[in-house]
Order: sequence, then C-alpha cells, then structure tokens
Amino acid sequence: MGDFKGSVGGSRRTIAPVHPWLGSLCLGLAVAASACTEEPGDADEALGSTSEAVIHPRMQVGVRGAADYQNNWQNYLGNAWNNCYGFGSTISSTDDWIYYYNLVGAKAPLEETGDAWGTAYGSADTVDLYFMETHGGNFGSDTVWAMWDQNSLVNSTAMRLGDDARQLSVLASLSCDVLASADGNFWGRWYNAFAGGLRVSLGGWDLLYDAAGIGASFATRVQWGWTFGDAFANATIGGDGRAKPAVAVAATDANSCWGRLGASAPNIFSQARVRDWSIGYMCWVTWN
Amino acid sequence: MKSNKLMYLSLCSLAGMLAISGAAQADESAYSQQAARSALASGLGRSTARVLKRGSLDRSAVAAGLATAFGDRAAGTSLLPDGAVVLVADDWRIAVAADGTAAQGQRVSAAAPPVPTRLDLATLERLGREFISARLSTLVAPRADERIVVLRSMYEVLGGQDVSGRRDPDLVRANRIVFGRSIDGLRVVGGGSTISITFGTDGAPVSFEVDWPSYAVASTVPVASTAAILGRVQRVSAARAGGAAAAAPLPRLDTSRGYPTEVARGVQLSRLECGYFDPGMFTKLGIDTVQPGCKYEVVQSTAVGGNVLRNGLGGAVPAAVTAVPDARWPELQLLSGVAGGAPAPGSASR
Repeated sequence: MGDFKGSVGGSRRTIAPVHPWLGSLCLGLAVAASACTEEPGDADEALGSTSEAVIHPRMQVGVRGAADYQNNWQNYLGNAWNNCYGFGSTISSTDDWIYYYNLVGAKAPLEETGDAWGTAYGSADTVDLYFMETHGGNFGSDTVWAMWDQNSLVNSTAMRLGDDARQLSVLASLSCDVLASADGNFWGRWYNAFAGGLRVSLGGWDLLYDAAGIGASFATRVQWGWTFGDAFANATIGGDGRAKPAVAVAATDANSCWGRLGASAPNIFSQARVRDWSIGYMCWVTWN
Repeated sequence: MKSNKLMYLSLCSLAGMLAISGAAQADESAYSQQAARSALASGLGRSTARVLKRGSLDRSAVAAGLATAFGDRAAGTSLLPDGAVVLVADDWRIAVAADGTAAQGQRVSAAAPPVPTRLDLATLERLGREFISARLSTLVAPRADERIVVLRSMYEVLGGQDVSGRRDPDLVRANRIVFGRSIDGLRVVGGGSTISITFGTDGAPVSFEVDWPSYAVASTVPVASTAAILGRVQRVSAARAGGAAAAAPLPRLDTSRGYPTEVARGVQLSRLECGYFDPGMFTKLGIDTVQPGCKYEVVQSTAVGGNVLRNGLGGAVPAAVTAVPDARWPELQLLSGVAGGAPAPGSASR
C-alpha cells in the first residue's frame, strides 16, 4: 500500500474507498439508526427493536502516531501504522475520521500552544477523540510523549485540553507509563491537561505492547458501546497479554469521579465539563 | 451506589491500613507458568502440529442462544455497521460479532462497591467455569479433543487523589479470570480462543468477552526446532526494535535462567508461549489460517536525559518448519523480507 496522505480533505477522500458500502448504508448511528438495523430476512430482527445503549453521537476523530524517529532517537514501533490506520478506518464506519498524521512537529499541536491551530495541523482540541501511538513515560513532574523530532517531548504540564475549538473529550495514547500513579504525583502531572475540561485519558500505567490489531480492536469495542476504559484495556491486553492499561478522569469530588469512569461513546457528550478550580478530585482504574 | 463507594473510600481512608497497591497483581495459573517455561526450554514440545482453519458460526443462532441464557427474551437488538448484533437480554447488554465467533456482555445494573480485597485465582476459576457452563455454552462448546484451561486472574484497581495531593487507598473494583483453549494438548495463543469473565467484588458477574471460533483441521506440518524458533524471535525482535538492536550482531541466547533474557541488543524477552497462533476476531487482522506459532513479549528502553522511556513489543513468530504464507501475519512477512503493512500517514501543516 502506498503512503497515506493525511490532509483533512484528502484523507477523507482517501479513506472512503476502504469501506465504500458503509457511507451509503449508515450515515451515522445517531441519525440513521433505523437504516442500520435493517437487514431483510435476518433472523436477528425478530428479536426486537433498536438498543439505545450502543447508538452514539458521531465523534470527530483525529489519529497521529510515530513508527520511526528522527536519527533513531527513539526505538522503532513497527505496528504504529497498523494501529493508527486500524483505529481510524474501523471507527470511520460510525464516526468522522478527520485526520491521520505522523508526529513530525507535533509537540505544539498537542500542547496548549497549538492545540487549536486547526485540523490541518493535527491539533488535539480540534477533535472529540484523539488516538495516538508513540513512546510515553513518567518523568516525575511531567508525563511525556515522544515526538518524531529528535529530543522533542510533549509535556503534560504544558497541555490544556478540552477548552478550545472542538474541545477534546478523549485522549487515547497507546504509550507506556503515561498514567502512572504509584509515585503519588498523578495530580501534579495531570492537572493542567485536565484543567481545560478533558473528559477521559487512556494510556498505560506501566508497560503497553506494540502489537498489530490493537487500534482496530479498540475501535470495535468503542462502537459496541463499551466504556472507553474497558475498550482500551481489553484491546491492549488482547486476551491474556501482560499490558498494563489505565483510564483516568477528573471531577469535582470522588463520588462523581467514580461515575465518570463509566464514560462511553453513547454518553460522553452528556458529561459536564469540569475545569480549573472546579476539579477537586482525579481518579483512575488500572488493570493489574 | 455512588454514595456506597464514597462511604467505602472514607472508611478506608480513616482506617489507613487497607491499601492494596501492589497486592492486587495478576496470578498466573500453574498451567500458564508451565507453558511459559516449556516454550523457552522446548518450543512447541512436539515434532508435528496441525494447521487449522478458523471458521465462523451462525451469528443469529449464537445471539438467540445467549439471549435465552441471559434472560427470558431479548428486549431489543440493533445491528452495527460491522455486522455485529447487539441485544439487551434481562440485565445484560450483549454484542455478537458478525461471524458469530466472538461476543461481549456487560451487566447493566450497578456492580458492588469496591473493596480492599480481591478474589483469589481458585475462587475466580470456580466462578468462571460455573458462568461458562450456565451462560456461555451456546458459544463455548469444546470438542472432545479440546479443553478450557485457566490462564490467570486480573484485577481492576481504583485509585484517586484530591486537590491537596492526598491519595486514597487503592481498592479493587473488579476481579477477572481468563481462560484459554487447548486443542490436542496445544494451547491457542495470541488472543484468539480466550474467555475473560469479570466479577464484581461480591462475586457476581459484571462482564464477559469471548472469542471462540470453530476450527477445522487443514493439514499437519513438521514443527521447527526450539533453536530455530528462538532464532526467529531474536531476528524479529532485533528488526522490530530497530536502531542499535537491528545493527548489532544477535547476542548468544542464554535460556538457562528463564525470563527475562536478552534476545537482541538491549531487548529483553519477558515471555514466550507456543501453540496455535490465532490473534482473534477483534484485531480484524483476518488471519484465518491458524498455524503453529509462539507468542512473544519483549521490552526495551531508551535513556532520555536522566529519565527512561520504556516500551514493549508483542507478536508471534511461526513455529512450523515452513509456515503457510499469510500476508496478514506481520512477523511472517518480516521474516520473509516482504515489506507491507497499513498505509503510513502524511505530515500535518507546521
């Protein structure tokens, strides 16, 4: 297969032939649920009517990742394109896949500096769900993600997600250690990132494994109505693998925090944004 | 429910002695531990093995069977764009894959509050086998030469921190048991043929996920030697790691001390399991020829200033002397020197 040219308009035109039948069959579960349930002669139809639980509002989705790094400053991730393309192409049957870019020059579009520059820049706040595969880490005071450019790291304390443009709801990073919490400094690392109103963050609390099929399986589970946390965890664990995924959210207090961990595609937009001083508690689930 | 959780947290905070951080780690079954040991020592442990064809099941029949097992009748269904059917039966919402080989279910009603303690492996195995027998027999029906084998327990652990920086003690939210499938004494590895069942802290089931296709025997093939299999793991690990690992000569493999062991420069093999490689339906890889293979997990790291970025690589190498060609199996392509894979992205504006 050739290079995927990930410009906004171009990417959508390029993606379309991948599932040519889907565009006409289902313009979106939210607006065309009845069309999606029609399958003449299918025995399943006899069971009843549409389940509201899996129908979700269309999300705008951005995908970025890095397989190789400038001057090999980071280790190769050979399945990054499989996972990024797999996530985007799968989710595009129910949601809008807006962009698909590498991580060249991607520090600013993930941090507050450029997170609202626009979809052509791959800015995080211009979509509802941002999926990314790259190396990640816990540097104590900062959670970091490696960009393609040599020595370029995105710092969580320089992020403010969920307050500009489309206002990001879900940050899903297939990256190790980004949701580490055992050292007691989760708040310090993540407060700024959540302060803009970000609803859900997904990543590893320890090691994740770069393996083919994770992106597609995460997307499938999201479409099937699982919580983002469960969908990400089961996709990264892949049956009985040793991956250590986690989901984290921010809320006004502990009570509401636990409830917000149940965020899924059908209910994500109904969650009130919690920003700045309103954040009184951060919580997470780790799969051990 | 929510106030119950809060009450538990408050009590735990006051008690100050119920932290389970580090204690709620997965337990490996004896079967799984032995599988990892024997893979390193003796590969597949036999001279021949089958090549299987992954087959689909009747989605409608599976859905109807699950609806019956979980409630008197399905309250509603919907069909997703990928052909999966989602049904609501009694207190459960269940999805069945288009090809009928996989299903997921989530209980709709609230789970029990989190607690400081976990359910042990033996208890979870018992609960899991009861659940499979009572609820999943429509999909999970082992043949005479197949066994359901217990692999491990896992735990969902809740944590939290307030604005003052105070961390509440970790609590177990849910307990999971994972089963696999052995065929003629060889396990299916890679994610396919897996049953995961999650139980609340009261032992009641809260969710499940099953990948359980039918398999037809296509042929029997000779199995590669242990040295050949480990050599493939080394070559694949070095190539996937890139950089110095790919450029340097492969190190002499020392398996005498078990895991971890260095398979390429700076790359540690942390686990190997051999059997029939099937990545399962959810990956959408489309691998339907299920042949002898060994699933590996390796770990590497890079120093960045005074810190370290770690990463894992996972996959499987073929274990037959001559593998059946399959362009959808990344390692098989890599070992064959064939370039390919998903389309690479372009660059964003800068």
